[in-house]
Amino acid sequence: MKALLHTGGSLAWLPDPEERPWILLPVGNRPILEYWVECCVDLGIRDIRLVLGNGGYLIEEYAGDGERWGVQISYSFQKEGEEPDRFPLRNPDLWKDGVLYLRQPSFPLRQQKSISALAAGESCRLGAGEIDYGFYSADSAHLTPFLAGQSPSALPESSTGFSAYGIESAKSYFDLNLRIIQGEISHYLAPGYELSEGSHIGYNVVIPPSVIMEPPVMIGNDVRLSPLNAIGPHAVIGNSVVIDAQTELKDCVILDGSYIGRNLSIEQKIVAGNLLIDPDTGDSLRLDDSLLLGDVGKSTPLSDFMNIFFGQVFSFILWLLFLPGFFVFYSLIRLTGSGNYTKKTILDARKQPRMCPEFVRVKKNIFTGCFQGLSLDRWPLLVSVLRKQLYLCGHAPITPEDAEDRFEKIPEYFPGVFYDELLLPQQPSSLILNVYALNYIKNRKLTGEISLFFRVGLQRLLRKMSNMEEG
Amino acid sequence: MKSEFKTQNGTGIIELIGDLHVVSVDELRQKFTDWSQNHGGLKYVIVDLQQTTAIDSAGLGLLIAMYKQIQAQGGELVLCSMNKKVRMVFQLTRVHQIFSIYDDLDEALRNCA
Repeated sequence: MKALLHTGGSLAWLPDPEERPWILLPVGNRPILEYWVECCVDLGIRDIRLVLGNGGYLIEEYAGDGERWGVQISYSFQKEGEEPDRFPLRNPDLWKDGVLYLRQPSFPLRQQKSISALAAGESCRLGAGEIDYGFYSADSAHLTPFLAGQSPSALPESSTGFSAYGIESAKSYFDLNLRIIQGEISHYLAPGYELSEGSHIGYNVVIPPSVIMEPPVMIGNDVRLSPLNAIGPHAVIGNSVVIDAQTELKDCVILDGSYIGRNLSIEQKIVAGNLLIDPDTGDSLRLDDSLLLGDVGKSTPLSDFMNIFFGQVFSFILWLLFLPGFFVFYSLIRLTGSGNYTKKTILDARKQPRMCPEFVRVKKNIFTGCFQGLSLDRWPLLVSVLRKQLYLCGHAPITPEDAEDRFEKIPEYFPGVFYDELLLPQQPSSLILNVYALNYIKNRKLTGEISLFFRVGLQRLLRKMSNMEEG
Repeated sequence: MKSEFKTQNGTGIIELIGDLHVVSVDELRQKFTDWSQNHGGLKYVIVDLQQTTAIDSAGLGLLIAMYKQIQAQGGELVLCSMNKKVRMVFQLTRVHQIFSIYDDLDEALRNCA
């Protein structure tokens, strides 16, 4: 017996299928893929074939070869636009001994905790109402015509204790999540685990004492709650979510990597990054205001490598280019007594305290204007980039005094030499700094780095030029 | 990169061994052009990537050019036996949407018969 699961296809209510294949959507706080794999394990199926669609690499990255579930997962492609039912016909011999076949997005909904495998010669449909999401068959009388490309006979309802539940609409997905946290989660718990007081809280979750939690709630891993949050009842919060202070969440589903701003009340909604979805109507609204909703995002090893490579190479070039200018202008500044460097302690990329030079202007004149306008004041910091202590572009470094508060709010740390906060007129509050940092983490990619470098460099230059003209 | 061109029961099979990248693309393109001129009218050409260790954008470009050339001659170019590394590149660039991709050579031969 094998399993053949089509992971392609997109859900109309969920934009960006390439960033979020349906099978990686969380239910409770785990991707649907895990529920299907566990279902296969319970049915004694160890050989699972996933047919990939757009965003399939995310699935492959997540599931790997299936070793962690004790199954063998392999991957195939199907040409876009081809009927899913054509795929098994490529190599019918693989499936003739029985197959759990899924052709459309759905969730393996269990009627009870234990599910049973079919006996030889039995078949059942996986679906509800008129929709067949697939079938589960160990019956050659059913499989033979199917694998010959003919329409198979209608199958009976599943008697195995589970069936496929469609997630075509935002409402069905929302309802499924609420069903899970209202008690059905116990059907999916592995032996040895139990649910206490209707709530589940993952690893590395920060919950300040002033948070009010009203079960049932489900919170994933790496989640940061803030003071005076009110969570629940019926709140499903995914992994890597940041919720700012005084925000109330109930009857809602927050998907992985979302940032929720402060003083908000979210009820009867699905939040996916900066996308707000109404489950009843399926309407969605993308908010561009990162003070309200945002995407915490996650960096990938490839993007990290590209960013670091770009940073290192470009920093070296800048170091050489800025060298003559730095010595000329800094000598003039010292001679005129219009500025100097002081030492400031910040946390470096490894979150270790490090003394860094910071330019302090004493007198405003043309030398300091050129020095700062051309960003020559950043020259000593470029060495730290080459030593991998700072990034060329990033967000404002955090000082040891602010570390405890700030690291609670941001999931990753990229202290930069150039960052948007340099353009702020005065020292911003930690809330604003957090928003800037979350924005940077969300948009961290090579093109964004290049854009940030030139944006910050040019704006500093233009501001100094206009200041000098005014002066 | 090494390449082997052969035919089996009226189907062309191209086996690519090693890294398919910018350095090897020109030579491979020339070999393919010579081979396809001598084997016009093939309905299917299978590119076997089992021993292809890596691929870059130039390699992808070559495969697409080969696909178009075979299609212009009334045939179809299909791929088979991708390893994980090559599969990732195809997915990231979405080139997998263009080709029919089979799990192994046997499956490709069965479906291209």
